[in-house]
Amino acid sequence: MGNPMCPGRMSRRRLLAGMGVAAAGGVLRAQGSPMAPTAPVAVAKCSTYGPEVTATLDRMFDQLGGLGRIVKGKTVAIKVNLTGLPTMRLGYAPVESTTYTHPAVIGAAIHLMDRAGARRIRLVECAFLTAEPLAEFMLRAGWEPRNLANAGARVEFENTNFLGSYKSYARLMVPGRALLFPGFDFNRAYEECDVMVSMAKLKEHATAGVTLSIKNMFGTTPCTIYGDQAGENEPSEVPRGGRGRVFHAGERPPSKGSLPELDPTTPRIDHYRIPRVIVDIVKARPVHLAIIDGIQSMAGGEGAWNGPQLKAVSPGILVAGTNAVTTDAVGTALMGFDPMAERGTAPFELCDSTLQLAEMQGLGTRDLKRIEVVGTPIKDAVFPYRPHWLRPRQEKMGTGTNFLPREVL
Amino acid sequence: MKLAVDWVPMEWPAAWDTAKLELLRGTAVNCLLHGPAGFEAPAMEQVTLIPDCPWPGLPPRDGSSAGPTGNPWIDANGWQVRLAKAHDAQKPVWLASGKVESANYAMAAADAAMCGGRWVVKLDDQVAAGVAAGHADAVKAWKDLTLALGFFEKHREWAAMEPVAKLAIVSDFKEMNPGELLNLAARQHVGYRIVLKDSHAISFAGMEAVLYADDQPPAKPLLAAMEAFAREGGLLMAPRPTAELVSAVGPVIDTQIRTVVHRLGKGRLAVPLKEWDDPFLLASDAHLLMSYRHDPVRLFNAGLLIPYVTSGAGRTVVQLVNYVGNESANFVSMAVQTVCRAARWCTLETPEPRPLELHREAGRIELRLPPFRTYAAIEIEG
Repeated sequence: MGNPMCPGRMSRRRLLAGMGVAAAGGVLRAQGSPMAPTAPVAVAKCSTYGPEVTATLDRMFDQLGGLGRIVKGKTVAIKVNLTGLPTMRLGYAPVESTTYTHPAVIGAAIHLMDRAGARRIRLVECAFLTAEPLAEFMLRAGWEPRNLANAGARVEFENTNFLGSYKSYARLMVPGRALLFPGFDFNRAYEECDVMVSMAKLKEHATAGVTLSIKNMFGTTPCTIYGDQAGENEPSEVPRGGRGRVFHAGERPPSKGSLPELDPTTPRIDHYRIPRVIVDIVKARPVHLAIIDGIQSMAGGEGAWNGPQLKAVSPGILVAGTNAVTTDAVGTALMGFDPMAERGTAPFELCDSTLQLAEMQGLGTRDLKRIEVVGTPIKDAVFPYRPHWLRPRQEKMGTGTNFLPREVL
Repeated sequence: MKLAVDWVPMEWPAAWDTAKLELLRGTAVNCLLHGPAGFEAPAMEQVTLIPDCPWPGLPPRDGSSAGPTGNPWIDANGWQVRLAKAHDAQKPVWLASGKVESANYAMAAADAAMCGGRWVVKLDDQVAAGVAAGHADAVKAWKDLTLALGFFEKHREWAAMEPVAKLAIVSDFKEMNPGELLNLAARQHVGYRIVLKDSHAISFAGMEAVLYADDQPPAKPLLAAMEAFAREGGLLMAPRPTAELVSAVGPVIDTQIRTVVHRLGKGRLAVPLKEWDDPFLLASDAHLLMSYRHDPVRLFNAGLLIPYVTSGAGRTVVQLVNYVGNESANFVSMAVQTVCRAARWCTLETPEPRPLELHREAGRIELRLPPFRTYAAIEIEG
């Protein structure tokens, strides 16, 4: 490792090289895996949401080269994962134990970023189906948002599912070749931040196979524009529905004034579309730091609505990295899957691999042989998800249609 | 002769003869409307009878049953009981159903009793005939009903307890459809207190927010009371004609989708940007501006449950009616917002209270409720 004074840490040069991919806005450095950039990923075991979370994250950030280099003097936006209704649970389990990023992880990260000199820390998320303040949304989950607000000197909350505290949306374009959408309109919190943090939950996903730090960014798009009942001619005032019709099914375009997808003749199939939409979003709004909460989670899907196969699990893992693709590749491996898997193979039985598409777009490698894992080795922390399913997935595995050659060609 | 407060009323089925009085033996029913010959009719001036109440639960599908949330509309009558009690706290409140739409009579009884009213028992003709003939299904429905009536009579003290509320809704409840606002506030699990604007002694003690719901401005004493409440740190929500009468309003401190919020002394004055015409949104905005922090309880996986929370004598009682009428497939849990040393729970099916384990989550206590069909009550010792 680069710094002899800090065993296990990486050098500043390597840290910046890793960050550069994301910070550069997804500039296509490579078209295939051999040239996709890499960056180290920190893995740690952490069995509870108690005080050990802060100490563990602190150590992990040190292993990645130090948090100050990323956040000092910066406005940091932390996109947490609060998918679905805050009052909807898997059984009796609190939503943060299975579905949402846990507030203990959020609070620990805020504390450490504040200590590392972050100028301003903003918690951002498109609160499901609502324009209510994010702190109120958290109250509905049973959280105490004051604890998060008090974890740093200047902590703000922004519900990005609509204009929020702004007068207009920010358009962020997909650099290089977009897969489906040339650009997106976001709440301005995503434009105003200097550092974008994706703080995800270690989960499978019914449509995308897995949902980690890349897929978490899907939830940055406001449903006033991309919602099922978003205004046709202009964004609706408040979020209207989920993103099923615009992104999943491609049944309707976003509100006029926002950019439509490039080619309306592409398949109207969510297993094709969602991985591509996600990659477009992450190219438009790059991630500088990915953090995955895998202390407690659920196996079998991303939310309590997914069906009877779901089961609460306790992998006892935290993952962090400065490249969202390498971080998610390691996260996928920790769930017992092969991040090199392609469509037809778990966890991508039905969908294209977002990791593969992201790699092909030059965002980062998913090849574990090219990713340095610092801290706990994968083999010592792996927690296979599939054995925890209550019953196997009933759908046919694969349809015989491989969407990927279109990209390859 | 029992007092009116003790009357448990029933509409005597036309098909039943005097011999069927035997069916009432051992039940709580002690007052017959249109009873058999020789029975004296109750003195109806001693009760508040609300006729033609909708049958509680999910209304029959007619293509228009979706509520503004997209969730199914629920017909619930608790607000009627509460409003009637606000008008006359001394008289018992009776709810008479317009049309009997299911054999879940226990739900009709629970719907009325949760907020301290009584359902005027009314059997469908077919069920009445079935009970008389001893048909198993009808007899079971009758038995479930009489058990429910007995349960609620046993727990009449709950009806006398004060609702746990942080929102006062002030109105004469004549201008706007009161059922929409009160019903939808309850549906959103808002703890509210009804304040009639012509009440002689108005107090907002213990409230976090006051919603003045009428278009017509209030009389000066009421306006002064609401203004004083806000200046001392409360939130006053009032339509523009009333807000314009408030003096020395401070600067705008928050603007939300439908509301602008001004500083008013130590508190806030919230004024709608447009006229209130949607009671669901009005209830939602009031709930949000006050903050979910003040919800009396927080339910998870609640489905079509509506809670009613009361307190008194060092304990809190949370009553829940499941308007689906079937055992929930979900796992309902409840975060308790008050001090909780112990909790017990009972249902119509298991009327003897049983202890509930306290689950300590980060910063809160949660209770995990076993599935129940129609009604449950949780007693919390504070």
